[in-house]
Amino acid sequence: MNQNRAEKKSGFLLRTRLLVSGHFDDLKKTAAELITNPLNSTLSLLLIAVSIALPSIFLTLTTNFMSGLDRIDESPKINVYLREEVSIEEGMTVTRGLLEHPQVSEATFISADEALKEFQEGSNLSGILIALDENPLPHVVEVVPSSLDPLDVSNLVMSIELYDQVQEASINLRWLERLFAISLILKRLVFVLALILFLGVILVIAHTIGVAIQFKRQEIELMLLIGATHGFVKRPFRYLGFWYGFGGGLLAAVITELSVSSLSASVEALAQSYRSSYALDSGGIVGILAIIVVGVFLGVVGASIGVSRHVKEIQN
Amino acid sequence: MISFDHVSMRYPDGFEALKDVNFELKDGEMVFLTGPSGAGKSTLLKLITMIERPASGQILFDGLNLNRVSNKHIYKIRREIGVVYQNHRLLFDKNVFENVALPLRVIGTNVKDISRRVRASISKVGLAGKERKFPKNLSSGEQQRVGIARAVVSRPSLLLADEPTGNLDPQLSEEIMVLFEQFNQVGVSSLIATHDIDLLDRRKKRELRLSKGTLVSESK
Ligand SMILES: Nc1ncnc2c1ncn2[C@@H]1O[C@H](COP(=O)(O)OP(=O)(O)O)[C@@H](O)[C@H]1O
Ligand SMILES: [Mg+2]
Repeated sequence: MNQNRAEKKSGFLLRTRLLVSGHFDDLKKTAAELITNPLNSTLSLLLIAVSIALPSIFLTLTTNFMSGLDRIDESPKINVYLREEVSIEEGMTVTRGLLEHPQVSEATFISADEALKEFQEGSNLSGILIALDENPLPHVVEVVPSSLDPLDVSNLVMSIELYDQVQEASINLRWLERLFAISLILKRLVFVLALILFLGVILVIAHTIGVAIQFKRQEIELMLLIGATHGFVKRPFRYLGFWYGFGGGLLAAVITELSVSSLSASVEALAQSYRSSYALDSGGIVGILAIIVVGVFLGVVGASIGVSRHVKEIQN
Repeated sequence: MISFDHVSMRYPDGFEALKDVNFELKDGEMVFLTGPSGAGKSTLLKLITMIERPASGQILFDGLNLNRVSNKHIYKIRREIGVVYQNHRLLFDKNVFENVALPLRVIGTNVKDISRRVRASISKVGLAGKERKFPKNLSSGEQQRVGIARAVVSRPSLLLADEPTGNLDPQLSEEIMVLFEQFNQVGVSSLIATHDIDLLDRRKKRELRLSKGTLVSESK
C-alpha cells in the first residue's frame, strides 16, 4: 500500500510518458496480433477494403463525370450545319457574319473535309465512312454564344436558323439538363451505397473485435480482477479496430487506384472520339488519404461498438 | 483492515449465501475462513473484491465503506488486494514472468521496476530461474506459487486466498501455507479460505467458521 501511494505521487510527466509508451506498446502488440492471425484478419480486411473501395470508385467516377459536364457547360457550342450546296467561301463569309452578331463570342468554320478527317481519327467508325464514295458531312460552323442564359441561347439559335445558308443550328440543352439530372441521381446513389457499405464495415469490425474479445475472455476477466480499469482492458481492442480500419482503408485505396487507372485508358479513348482530351482524375494523394481516413474512422467507431458491447458482457 | 457489519448477501436467483455476518480482520492479522463446501467462503471473498455486493449491511475496507464505492472505482479497491485462486487463474499463453508482471502493467509501473519487482517476487516463492517457462510446463505446486507471486508483486495491503491448496497434496499445501505465513510476517493482512483442517490445526491462527452462510464460530 505504501508503495502504491508512492507511485501515485510520482511525477505527472513520468506518468504521461508511461501512458504514452503503454499506448504505443498496445499499438505494436495489436498490430503483431493482426499479422500473426493471418486467416481471420485477411478475410475481415478484404471485406472491409472492398466495402470502402466500392463507393470510392463510384464516387471517383461520378465526380469525374460531373466535372466533365461542368466543362461542357462552360462553353456550350452551337453546331451550325450549312446547306449541302454552300461552298467553302460562302461558309467563311457566313462565319464572319456570325462573328459580327452581338450574341456570338466565337465562330469557327470547319469544312466538310476537316470534319471527316477528325471523325476518322477519333472514331472506330472510320472504316464505314471510307467505304462511302462521297463525304456525307456538311460544312459546319461552331458557334460559342456570349451568354449562357438558356433563353438567349435559344434566341440565338433561332436567329441563326434564319440564315439562308443554314440547314440547321442545334444545341442540345435538354441533353445537358438530362445529364445533370442523371449525375445528381448518381451522386445520391453513391451516397446511399456508401452509407450502407460503411454501416456494413462498422458491423464487420464490431463483430471481428467481438470475436477477439471472446477469444481473450479469460485474460480480460483476470485483468479486471487485478484492478485494471475498463479503459485499460478496452484499449488494445480499440487499437485492433484502428488497425483493421487503417489496413482496410489502405487496401481500399490500392483497389480504387487500380480500378480507376484501368478504367482511365478506355475513358481517354472515349473522350478523344468526342474531340476532347480527358483523363480520369482519381483524386491523387488527397484521395488516397481520404480513403484511409474513412477506413480509420470506421475502424475506430466499429471497435468502440464491439468493445463496449462485449466487455460489458464479461464484467467482474 | 476489513470489517463486516451485519452483512447479508443474496444471489440474483434469490439464494441467500450469507446471513448477518459480523467480523473484523485487523491490520497485519492472518485469519482462516473455514466451513464445508457451499458454506459461502468464496461469496464472502467476492464481497471484499467487489465482484458481488451485499444485500444489506456494511463492509469497511481500511475505513472505507464499500457500499459507497461506485462500479467505476472498484479497480482502486482491487489494486490494494492480492488474490490467490484455487485454480490459480494463470494465463497459459504467457510465461511466468509475464503472468507475474500483469498487476504491475495494470497500474502502469515502468519497465525497469517491473523487471526488478517481478524477479524479486518470483524468487520469494522459490521459482528463481523459471521466469521464461510457460505454466503448462510447471507442476501444480509451482503453478500455484506463480499465482502467489502474482498476488503479492504489487505489495498489496491485503492478501485473499480461496482454497489455495485445494488441488495440492499435503506436503505442497504445507509449503504454500509457510509462504503465506512469511508474507504475513512482513505485515500483509491475510484472509485464507480453506477446508483443509490439518493445515489449521498446526497453526495458532484465528478461524472464522461458516456454515450455510452464517458465521458459526470465531476461535483463537
Ligand atoms: N452465482 C451464483 N448464483 C446463485 N447461487 C450461487 C452462486 N454462486 C454460489 N452460489 C451458491 O452460494 C452458496 C455459497 O457458495 P460459495 O460461496 O461458492 O461456497 P464455498 O466457497 O464455501 O464453497 C452455494 O450454495 C452456492 O450454490
Ligand atoms: Mg469456494
